[in-house]
Amino acid sequence: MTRYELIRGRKRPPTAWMPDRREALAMLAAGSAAALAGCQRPRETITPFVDTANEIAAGEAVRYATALELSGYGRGVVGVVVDGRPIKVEGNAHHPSTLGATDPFIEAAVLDLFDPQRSKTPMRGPVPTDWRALGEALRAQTAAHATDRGAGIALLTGRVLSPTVLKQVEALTTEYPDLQRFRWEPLHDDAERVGAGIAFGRALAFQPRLDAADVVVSLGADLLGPGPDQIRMARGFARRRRPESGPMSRLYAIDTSLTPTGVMADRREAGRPELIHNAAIALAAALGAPLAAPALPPALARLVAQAAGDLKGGGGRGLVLVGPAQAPEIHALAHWMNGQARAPVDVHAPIDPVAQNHADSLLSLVQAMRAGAVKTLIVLDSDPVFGAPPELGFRDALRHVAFTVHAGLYRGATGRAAMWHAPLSHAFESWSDTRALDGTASLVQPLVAPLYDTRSAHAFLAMMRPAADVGDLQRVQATWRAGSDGGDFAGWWTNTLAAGVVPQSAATPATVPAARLPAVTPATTGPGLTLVLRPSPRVWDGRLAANAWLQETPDPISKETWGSSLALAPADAEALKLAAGAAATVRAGTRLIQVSVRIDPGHAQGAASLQTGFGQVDLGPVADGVGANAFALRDASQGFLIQPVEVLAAGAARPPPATQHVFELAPADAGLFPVVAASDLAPAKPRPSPPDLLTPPNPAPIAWAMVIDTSVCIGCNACVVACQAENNVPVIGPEEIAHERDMHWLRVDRYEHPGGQGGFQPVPCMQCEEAPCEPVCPVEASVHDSEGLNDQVYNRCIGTRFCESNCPYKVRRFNFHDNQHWPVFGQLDARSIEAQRNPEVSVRARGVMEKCTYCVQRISAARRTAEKEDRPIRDGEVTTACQGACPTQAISFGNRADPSAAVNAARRDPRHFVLLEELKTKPRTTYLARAANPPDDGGPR
Amino acid sequence: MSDIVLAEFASEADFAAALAALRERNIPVIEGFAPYPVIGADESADPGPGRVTAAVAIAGFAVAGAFYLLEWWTATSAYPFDSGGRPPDSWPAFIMGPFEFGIFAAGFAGFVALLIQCGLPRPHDPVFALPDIERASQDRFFLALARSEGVEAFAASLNGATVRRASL
Amino acid sequence: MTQDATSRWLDGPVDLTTVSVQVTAPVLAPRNRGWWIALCASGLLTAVMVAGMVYSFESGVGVWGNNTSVVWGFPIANYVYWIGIGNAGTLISALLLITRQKWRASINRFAEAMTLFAVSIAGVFPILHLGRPMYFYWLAPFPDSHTLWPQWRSALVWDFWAILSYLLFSIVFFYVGLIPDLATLRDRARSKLVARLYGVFALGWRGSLLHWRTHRRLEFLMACMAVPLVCSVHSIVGLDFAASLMPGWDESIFPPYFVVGALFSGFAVVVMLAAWLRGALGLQDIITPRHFEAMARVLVAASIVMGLSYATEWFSAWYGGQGPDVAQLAFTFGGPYRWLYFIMLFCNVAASQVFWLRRARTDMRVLIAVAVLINIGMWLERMLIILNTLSHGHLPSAWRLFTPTLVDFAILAGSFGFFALLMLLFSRLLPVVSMHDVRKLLSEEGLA
Repeated sequence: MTRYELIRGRKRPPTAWMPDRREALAMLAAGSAAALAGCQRPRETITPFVDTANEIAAGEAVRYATALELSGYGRGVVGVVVDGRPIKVEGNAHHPSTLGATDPFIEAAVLDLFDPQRSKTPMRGPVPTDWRALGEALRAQTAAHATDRGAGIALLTGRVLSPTVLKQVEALTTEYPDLQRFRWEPLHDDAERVGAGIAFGRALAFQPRLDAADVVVSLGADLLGPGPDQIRMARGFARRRRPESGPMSRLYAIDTSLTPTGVMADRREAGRPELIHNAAIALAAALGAPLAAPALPPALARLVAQAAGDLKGGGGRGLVLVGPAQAPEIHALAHWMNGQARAPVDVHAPIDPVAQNHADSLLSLVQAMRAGAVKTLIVLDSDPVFGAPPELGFRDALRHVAFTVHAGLYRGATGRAAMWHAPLSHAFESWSDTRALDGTASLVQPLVAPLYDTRSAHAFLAMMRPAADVGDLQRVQATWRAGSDGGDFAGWWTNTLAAGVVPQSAATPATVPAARLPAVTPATTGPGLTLVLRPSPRVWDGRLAANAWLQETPDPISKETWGSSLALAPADAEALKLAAGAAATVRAGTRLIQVSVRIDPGHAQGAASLQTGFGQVDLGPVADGVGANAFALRDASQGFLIQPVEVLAAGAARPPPATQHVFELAPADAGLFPVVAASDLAPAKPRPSPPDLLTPPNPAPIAWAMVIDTSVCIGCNACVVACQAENNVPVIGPEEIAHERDMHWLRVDRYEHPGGQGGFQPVPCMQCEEAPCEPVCPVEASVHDSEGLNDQVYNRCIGTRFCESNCPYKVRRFNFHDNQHWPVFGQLDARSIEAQRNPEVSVRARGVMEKCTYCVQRISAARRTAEKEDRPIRDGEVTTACQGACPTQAISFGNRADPSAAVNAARRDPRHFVLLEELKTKPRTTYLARAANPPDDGGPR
Repeated sequence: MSDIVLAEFASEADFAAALAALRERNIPVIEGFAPYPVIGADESADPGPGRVTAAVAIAGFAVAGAFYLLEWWTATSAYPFDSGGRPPDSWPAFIMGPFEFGIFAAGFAGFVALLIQCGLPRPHDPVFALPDIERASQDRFFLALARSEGVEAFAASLNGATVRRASL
Repeated sequence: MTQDATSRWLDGPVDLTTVSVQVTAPVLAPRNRGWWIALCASGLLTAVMVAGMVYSFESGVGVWGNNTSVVWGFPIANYVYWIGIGNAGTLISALLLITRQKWRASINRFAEAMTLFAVSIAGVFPILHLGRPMYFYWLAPFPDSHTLWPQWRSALVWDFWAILSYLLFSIVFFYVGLIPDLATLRDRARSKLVARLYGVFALGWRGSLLHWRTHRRLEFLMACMAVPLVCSVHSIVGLDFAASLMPGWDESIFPPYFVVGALFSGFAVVVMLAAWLRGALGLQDIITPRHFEAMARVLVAASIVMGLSYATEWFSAWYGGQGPDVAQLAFTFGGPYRWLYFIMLFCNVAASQVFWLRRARTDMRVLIAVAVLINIGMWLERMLIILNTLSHGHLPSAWRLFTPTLVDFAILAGSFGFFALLMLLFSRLLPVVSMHDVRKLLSEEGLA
């Protein structure tokens, strides 16, 4: 399209800029990103995923099983590779943590691979250098420790579960017996760990099974929220929330700020952390624990009483879950309660070999550094300069260390503070292995040869030892050859790579005695507000903050993008004279940060909450200066509660732009998000359809349709990011979103019914049969195809926007600018992003309208296959990106003309409803109403 | 070129009276000139206006009809497609274009007819050579009569007439 | 043969001679510096518009306030506003001709000129509005490589033909009326060159009885066709909104109420122009206080119809009781745009009521003030039709407000400058009053 070229040529990101010396050199060393035009396949043999065809044709997508880590926990995924370019990530059905689905973090991983902000070359201070120089320096430094048995070497890592890495560390410690190893995650599990100790006398790991629980009580535990276990938990939860498939479970939730768990709960109350603490005691007391039940506000008391009743009665199995912010005693108490309620929890020995608490580990490291006991500090894939509590003063503690080196995917704050920085390869570029929460091990195989001059963590660790380096492949194989039962290792290796999980590697269940009842005293609410730190559902602990997809993903609850603001209860905000969107200074002792304020009607009074991971300064143009760093308010104990905090008005702010502003549905609009009581679900009776002026089109052999079950949608955004990755949806940046523009083809609306349950409502294009957008288009850019898709012909669109103005669902997205050159990368050359683009989906020009296509490219791929094999397309053969990503399998898609299709079963469900049916647009995308146990009826059954 | 008598009048009244008198005596008037349409100057004799009306009517309906046919053909056979489930021949929606454009065509045809009828454009015309004639477009009225003894005398006798000899 | 005029529609010693003198004077013997100053001022504003448009073409429509929900913004409002002004000129001229209103003679010429300029300006906005303006011609039917034709069901295609036909028709109508006056200019011109120039455009008009007969017939026929054309044009503009299913737009009242709105705003502009030309070109004898009185009366009548239309909207929304429509009404009166709406109501309904007083009808200051208010009100009305509906559609999740940008305002302001520029040139190059119509009036009043 020459016209497009023309426009694009004009609207290129600024080229007339002078790189400063550092950047110029870095670019020099890194080589032009243009090299990415042809990505190199890895040198070694990599094995396609089990269910893929053998021969690989050019332009055809091939799937490879591998694994990604989140805070050290491995999660099996399947990478989709086209012509040597990984373009999409999917879940691995064989892996216990992904079960074939994904979460936003997994979906976004492929963007990190091509992220121009990645660290591309070793650095010595501000100067780009090379691996040889770094290697020599490192070896010289470690050799010097031969004398002190490595006593001066400190190795700081995050949570490491990779057997091969552990083996390498092992080897190091044999060589340097006094090497000090530290392990630290900013989002740690210290409370759980200690709690387990209190209850069972030893550290244990727990795997609650929501699908087996009839009553679930969440005490500040965002069990459906983000995290390494989100997919498994959500799937288990969903299994018990479809009334037509067996009795529904009941979910009680007390949380401080509204969380997905609170939204999905049958009964939810807001309570500040101290009250959650007391509610736990009250619940335990109600379950027969010899404890004095502390007084609770009436609403909480009622909820606790009701929950207790359900936990005791009915012979069902109960489950009590406690959030990481709660004290270890409360975790222990939960274990005791679970004992009472015959909770479905799998217990096994912890996967993490390090027993020490994260907070203590970091503290002792800093003390050692200050004491001069550390001569050599090696930071492996961890960013303490950003995430450590300020009072530890990690940055200047570094000055007491003679030699500091940081290795990571991004240089980050620590990489800049350290003397040396080593760029690590992306998981898709390296061989490795990892273990999941339940111990299941996976092999990590590269999908592509390293794009830049980077090395794997293994290679980096190996550099510390003079021994000649063997390749990562051999290294990983060596680890497993030992483990595998002699036999045919080559075969075992190939099969394991193909399946993505190591057979029988899950941790063996531990038999544990009944949990001890801990000594626990009610909490008293101190003065001032209590601040709760919550893991961000978008950037987690900050290690994902550079990812533009995740930054632009709307928060499930607030719908904020590009940052997150401090959530306050309306009453508190009023008392503090803070309006929504105002700037505030949050002060805890001497520590203070600047944030913007969000007023959350569902927030507990006396508390405030803030998401972690934002407020980066040294990560790159995407993340820097976006939001505030919540970790900066922590003290050395690194708890998730900060008490007391002061919130002071600080003038006007530019709050994070939100994509939805109105959440509460007026009675007149209640029909937009129906909530039906599970108890009174009548079988569907055919609704008399009003007379139709237009003659219905003759029935086609294929009529695509989608049904979305709002009963199990937890608003996790996996579908949103999946759609973005699959369909080359550009990132437009905070300014544009603040301008009320957005680009996501699929949005997840959140609604609240005053005084009732609300929920999440994903809204893709409705693919109306009598589409209002079509007759108003003057140039046939918006037309209907024979299979009922509402097509947008990009190269015919002239951008009148009449279609969107006439779309009652507002699902069309307009390219107000030339969005394909992401402005968010500032002066960086963003061409590498183009390597991620799905070759099956055309890239849209400025000035044209675009929209959800039901992943038409996947439909036509299936059609091609079906025609080759001379058969109709099978039900379930076409999976849309959103459908494939969904952890709770809320989306069903298929051929409406095929009576046996799953989508038709869903359409016959009594909960089936059509959004804005009265407009007679006859949408192909329809919904199942949310089923819930009405807040105040009897037990689960 | 023929010799004429040019009678000039300063008021519509005299002009109209003169016209009537001449008609009475069947003295042929070659042409009259006025700064505005003079009511009463007999129109029935002149086919011009009728032709304009005809042109307007024919052009209007013809173009509108052709336009509708184009719409119908493109929508039903040239490139039929499903647009929001509407029938290919959505005639109510097809009326607007023909109506609008038909009216323009009619007006334009009328304009062309006017030019033809009045023999315009004609940058040079013997009439412009007539003495004092430029006032015919401002405040004077003229009558051009074939010159002959009787006529000239009679013209001179007309009320308010200034008579000159000229050739046309 | 000068004599004291006793005409109702003319003042002072007007006769055939003085008409030509007075009207052609500004063209043939210009003598004011004010004109040049005004020209420069409007030229500057025009430059602002051009700059705004070039910037928009260059950087894309993202430089405006439009957003995902409010995908339409200033350009569409400006388009509807200007096409409204454009409707009045021809409508006034034609309607008054058919109904034999004698006072038409003094105002029809510049009213028609107003139409031409306003419609030309209006025609620019739909193109400017496009995401890919370079392809606007895809609305026209021609055999292209896409083998596609326009999508005839779209109200935008109707618009395309309506504007095109209306503009061309108005040009012809304007020119036909102009020919005899061009002849007058030709004949009065002192310099040969000027005479040649106007001679060419006069096409050799000789004012023979034959010419006049044909001319009268054509003018009458065109007037008869102009009225339905004008009404249909703005009805179609109304259908851009009415032929949708957005709350607040899907109303059958839109077409008629758009037409009245057009007449309303158009007449207001005519009042302003008349006041200006009268003063600037010394046409006090030809454009008399009685003309202003007549127009003021029309304004009152129109404003009452406008009020009635608004009331009907509210009533049908309330009486129909449909969720979205009621919500829409509540948003109109309670939403963030309500103050604009109240201002609009004041300008369009309340302001003109002052014309019940005779004194107000003849007081230039009042006339002009009200005319300005009406135009502010009518522009606001068009803007609010877009904002209220698109900001508050069917799904609360998509409720978004609209914030205009500087570019939006620059283009809007500039369009007024451009209009003024064109009117100034017109007043200098062509007779702003139809001389032959005035002469005709004189004769009908027995003064010729």
